[in-house]
Amino acid sequence: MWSFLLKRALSVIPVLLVVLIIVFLMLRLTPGDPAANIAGDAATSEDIAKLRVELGLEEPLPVQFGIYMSNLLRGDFGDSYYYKRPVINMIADGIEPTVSLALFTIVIACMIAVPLGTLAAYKNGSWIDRLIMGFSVVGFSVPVFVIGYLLIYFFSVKLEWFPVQGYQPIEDGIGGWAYRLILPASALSVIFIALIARMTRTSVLEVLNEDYIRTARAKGLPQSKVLLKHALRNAAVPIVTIIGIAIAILVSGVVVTESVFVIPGLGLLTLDAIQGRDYPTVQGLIILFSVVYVLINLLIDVIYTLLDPRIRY
Amino acid sequence: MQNTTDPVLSVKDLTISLPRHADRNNAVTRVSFDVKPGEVLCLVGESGSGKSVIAFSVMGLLAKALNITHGSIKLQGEDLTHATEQRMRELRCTRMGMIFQEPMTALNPVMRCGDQIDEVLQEHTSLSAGERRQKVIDMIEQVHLPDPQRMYRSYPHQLSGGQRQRIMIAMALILEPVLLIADEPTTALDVTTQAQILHLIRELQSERQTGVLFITHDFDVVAELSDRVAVLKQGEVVELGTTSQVLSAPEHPYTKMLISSVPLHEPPERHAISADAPVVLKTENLDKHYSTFSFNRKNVVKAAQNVSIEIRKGETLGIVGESGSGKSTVARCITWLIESTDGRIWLAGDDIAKLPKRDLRNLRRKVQIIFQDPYRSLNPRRTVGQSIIEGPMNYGESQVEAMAYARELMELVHLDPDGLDRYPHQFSGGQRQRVCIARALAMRPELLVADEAVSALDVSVQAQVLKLLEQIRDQMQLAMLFITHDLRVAAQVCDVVAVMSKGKVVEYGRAKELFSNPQHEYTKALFDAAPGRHFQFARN
Repeated sequence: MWSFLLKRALSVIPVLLVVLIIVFLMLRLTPGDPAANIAGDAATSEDIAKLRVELGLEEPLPVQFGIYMSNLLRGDFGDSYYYKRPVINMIADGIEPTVSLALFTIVIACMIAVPLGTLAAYKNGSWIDRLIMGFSVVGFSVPVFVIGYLLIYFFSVKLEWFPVQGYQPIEDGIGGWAYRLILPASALSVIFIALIARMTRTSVLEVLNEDYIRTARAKGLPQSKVLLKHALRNAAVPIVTIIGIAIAILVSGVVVTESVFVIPGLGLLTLDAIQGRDYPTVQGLIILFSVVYVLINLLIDVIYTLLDPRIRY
Repeated sequence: MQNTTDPVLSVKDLTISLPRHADRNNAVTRVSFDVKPGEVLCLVGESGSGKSVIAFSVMGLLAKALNITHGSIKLQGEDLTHATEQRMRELRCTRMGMIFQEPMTALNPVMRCGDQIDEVLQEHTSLSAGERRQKVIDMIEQVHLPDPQRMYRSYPHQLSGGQRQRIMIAMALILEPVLLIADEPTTALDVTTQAQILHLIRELQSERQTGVLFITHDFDVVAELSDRVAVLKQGEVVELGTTSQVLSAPEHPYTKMLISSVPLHEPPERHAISADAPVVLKTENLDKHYSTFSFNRKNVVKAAQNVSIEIRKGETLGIVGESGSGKSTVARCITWLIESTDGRIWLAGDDIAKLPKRDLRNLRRKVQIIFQDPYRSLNPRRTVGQSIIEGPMNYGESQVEAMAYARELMELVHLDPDGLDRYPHQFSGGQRQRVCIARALAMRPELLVADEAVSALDVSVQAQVLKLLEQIRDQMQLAMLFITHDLRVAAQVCDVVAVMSKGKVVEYGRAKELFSNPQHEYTKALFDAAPGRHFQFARN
């Protein structure tokens, strides 16, 4: 088990390297010049050229990459071109809102999706099943910003139950923090409810045909116990997989939601950094997202062993 | 109070309808039988005869598409056909318990075995946790499992098939139900394990005077276990009587046909293969090891060790053994589906064990396999004709040639050549296996490997396919390697038999001598465990 964990943790390194090279090249090969962005509209081409030398952008690409990597190995992620602050500090500032939003979303999604999916599987073919699956198709198809603006319109503007936008740090009180997250998390959770409910239904349906479900019924267990104790736990592995992937997508995919609800998290930071061609910030964020992705996958693998005694590493 | 001779289960005129578009109207038609206390009644029939449907209808576990349209099922006088779901739940495991065919899949893989038995007590009794645990441990002891504490903590995958079936039996009998329903509980087990499980069921049911409804397709098991037998054909009971009466002096023609299809234990007289017939396949000290590496150590499993066998033209060599004995490993090495670790294999004079991969192509043609499950070994989306001609066309035959030969082969295996345009699902299991045989023969092989080729077939179909294989071998002068766990089948078709255990050939000799006078301890134990050995089946 420990050797497995070590091996998997080390596998982060090649993943990061590949991701970094690709991002490094893509940023520099696509049109747009950070120096021109920083210098502003009134700058002359001499100003811009001077700025490019200062930022080290005139060096050949391999040299730039070498410098970046050697700084990185010393724990230096570089400074933002724009804000002149260390990238690492800017990421640290954005982590709390983003992680809060992601966790809030996934908790809402799981609490709704898993029971819905199980119910749909149990009532397979009935109108309840069709209704749930119909909702799931809609949930997949409607973009998150549409849902977001709809929620704001009804719950904030019309009913005035929730604030329109904004974020309150957790240290200023859990109540206010949670209160302000409910709408954005609901908007964001819709697609994940659709995804997880669908997976749960498929997985539980499959398990319901297994011999041990028949055994459980032959023992005289009531349906609810057959479903919850025997079926759901056996169906859990694919469900956990999809939830893990959902979390990974969430952390890196909250961009739209954060801009709709103006939450100062990593999503907004990413958006700004890409628009401003703020190379060090984009690279720093990508490193973070890759590490999160690999670690979540590792966590899922560990959870498998808790769910299913047959899985051992 | 229930009279001790009143039947525990009484089924009267039971009719269960099938959904529309099925091959017949009723799964079960006007079936009547009784199970008395302490009695074992066997329901015997071929696949599709409706025997499992009857078992499930008693438990109230019928699939939704099936409905009881007529008749009654009475458990100690209480009518179950009109009982509520709630009442059925109360009766399950308290008054009627059930064990199933596949111990491998019948237990919940993510729950400890002890907890799974405990669940029965939690549901149906008000015992305290400590009392329940003690009762479960006692029950695990009563089904003769070693180290009950450890068994309690084990997950199903940590136990063998026989052990799992014992856990199932413990679960079904812990509340001492008056009726035990056993649906082919030993079909998936090896012969020695089967003997133990049958013995255990006998022991527990006679101790407790449990009535047993035992579902099986296997007349050997019937002979071994049952007091009375009901023979089912297409959902109808065609014969019902005491075991000796039905097996030794059957009256209904269908029963007669079934019983005479059971292969004999004694090998028939065979013409000897002449000593100068060319050797088609020979292995010398064949080894196959599997190594798994964990962090710092290497585990080696010796799946086959020092296997030396020889098959001549026109001869059938049988490899007999239980699961895990290495018989399939040997077959796979010979057919080059896996690479052997050590030793030599000669096929028609060429040493193929260490041949470079590119030279294998021509050899593949000389060896063809027939697999166990005819339902899964044919591609469902290709016509059988396409399946048959695919091989020869890969080796350069034209489609016209290959198709002409395929028609010949269809006649050889007693199928209509026009069937070449049809898809596998339009054939029955026995017919599909004939198609598989035709497919193998289309390659014009020198060696035919049959890996449990008749094990999945009903006994009457099995007899026909065995006869066909024998006829083909003689007609085409093939060498045949016949892998089976079934001693009766081996006795009928093999000239020479190799008995394998734990990767080694423990006994090797002519079938006639080996069956009449086994030498090795393992062979003797294997023969002794075979059910129905001492029973005289009726012959036509």
